[in-house]
Amino acid sequence: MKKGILVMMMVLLMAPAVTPAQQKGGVEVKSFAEVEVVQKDEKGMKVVTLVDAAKNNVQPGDTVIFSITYLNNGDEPATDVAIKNPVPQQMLYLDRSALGEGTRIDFSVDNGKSYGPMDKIRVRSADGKERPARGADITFVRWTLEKPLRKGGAGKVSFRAVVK
Amino acid sequence: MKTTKQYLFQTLLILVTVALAAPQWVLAAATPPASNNYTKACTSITNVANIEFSVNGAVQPTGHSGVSSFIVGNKINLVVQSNDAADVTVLPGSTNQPLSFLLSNTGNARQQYMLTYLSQSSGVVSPTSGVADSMDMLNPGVGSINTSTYTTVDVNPDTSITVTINANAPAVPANGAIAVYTLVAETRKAGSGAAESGNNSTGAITDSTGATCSADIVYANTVVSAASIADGLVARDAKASARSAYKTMSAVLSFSKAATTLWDPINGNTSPKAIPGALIRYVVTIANAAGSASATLTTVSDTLGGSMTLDPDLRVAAACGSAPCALTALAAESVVGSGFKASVSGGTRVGTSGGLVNGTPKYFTTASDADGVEFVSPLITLTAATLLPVDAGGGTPYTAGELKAGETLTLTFDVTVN
Repeated sequence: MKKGILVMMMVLLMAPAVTPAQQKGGVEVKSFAEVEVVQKDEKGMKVVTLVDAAKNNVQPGDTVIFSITYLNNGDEPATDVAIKNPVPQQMLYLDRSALGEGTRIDFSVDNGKSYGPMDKIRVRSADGKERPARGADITFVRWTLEKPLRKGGAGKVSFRAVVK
Repeated sequence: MKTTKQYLFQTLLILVTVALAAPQWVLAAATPPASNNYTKACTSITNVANIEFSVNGAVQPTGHSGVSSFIVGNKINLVVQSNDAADVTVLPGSTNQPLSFLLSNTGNARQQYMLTYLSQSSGVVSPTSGVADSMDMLNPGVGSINTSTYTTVDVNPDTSITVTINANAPAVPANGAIAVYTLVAETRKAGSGAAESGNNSTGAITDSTGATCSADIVYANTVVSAASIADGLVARDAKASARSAYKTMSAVLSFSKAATTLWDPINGNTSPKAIPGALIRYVVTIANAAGSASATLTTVSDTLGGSMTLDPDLRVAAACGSAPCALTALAAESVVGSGFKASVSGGTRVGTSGGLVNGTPKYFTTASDADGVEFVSPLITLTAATLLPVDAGGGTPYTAGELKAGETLTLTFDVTVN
């Protein structure tokens, strides 16, 4: 009996200190940078395909599509799921380009300190006057899932930005 | 016995020493294109998406993120503009005369440019005056004369530099002849000067810090002027060009000397004849044609015929009537002893340094007193630097002795036939 208790204590000591609520795996997120390439098929019709930006010609002025996929590969549903994506410093967010089914999309013009819907955000111009924010003002995009992400649940959000 | 005609002929000898004043360049430095502030070539852009979530009401640690990145390629673009707001005037025989251009790197990487010139053939018009090319300059080159092949220069993005085509002017060109030249800049790889890889290619790129990477290259020069097309350039060829023109400019001086008989001892001033004892008025005129270059006069000399005597008083002709009267009865136009009258017209001289004022005659003694008009028998000498000294003009300053285009200098004096 004493030996059994000792074994149990050793097992407990050797086990990693896992917070009860922290699950294995969690929500996996991936980012993809792609550009649209227009080609013509055998019938002469224009066909737009997405190709990896890292393998394609990207120049100043080009639009890059950033897609972020997420997958709950944990054991439990995830709640309060939010994806925060700073707009790369060398790029300008393309107005009205953020998409995300089943998400609420908010924006920040102060490097993520505060967020709000695009039509509610105002910025102060150089002349001191306030005006509605434009795409070029956006520094962060945030997608908040409207429902918990069930185990095995996945989704995709995206936005477009132009290389300065 | 000499005739009056012979007397007149002898006094027509005029010696004028002229130097052409320096031409005036009308430089209106072209406005550089606005900075694009493009993301520099070879820049790696990374996107990081962070996710936050809770499980069973407990906020999970941060650190779940997705990352993607790519390299910005090379956008090649350039602009060449002329800095010359007007045809660049050059004097005959002048050397190393520049046409000025502004070369701007409007791409996103440091580039080298191969600079060449094209000498246009007749019929191609000057971009500033619209006058057709009619001559060639001598020994043209980019940056300096005789650079017959090409010159190269490295330029950072959003940076402009001034480039010149230099050439010598022919010794005896036609006045107003036009020579049109084109500066062509072709983009090359920075540092090495190797040819670029081609539009929509992949190759080595040097960024503005000198670092290199391999990335895609695009020629973005899409707008090509008609003149550049005529010079063989096309869209997306990584080249740019601009034209400018030389214009030869000489002073076009004309000299005249008019003689008028004012009085003779028989007829007075009624139809006077050039007979011995007659009073003859000479008006020497030096005019610089409108539209020509300024001339810098040094001296004007006139040798009186041996049978003439300079009248010291420059008399008023209409004071005697038809009855024979003594020459001394004719009043002096100014004061006794002022035998010369000089005037300048057609300009803006204001007499800043005591020289002639435009449109206002000035009288001079017939003594040799360094006042600008001297007489040491038989030589009359006009010293331009004294008569036409440095002057503020009406906003356009004069150099000493300068007779601008459209101006006329007149010297008037009387002689009596011995």
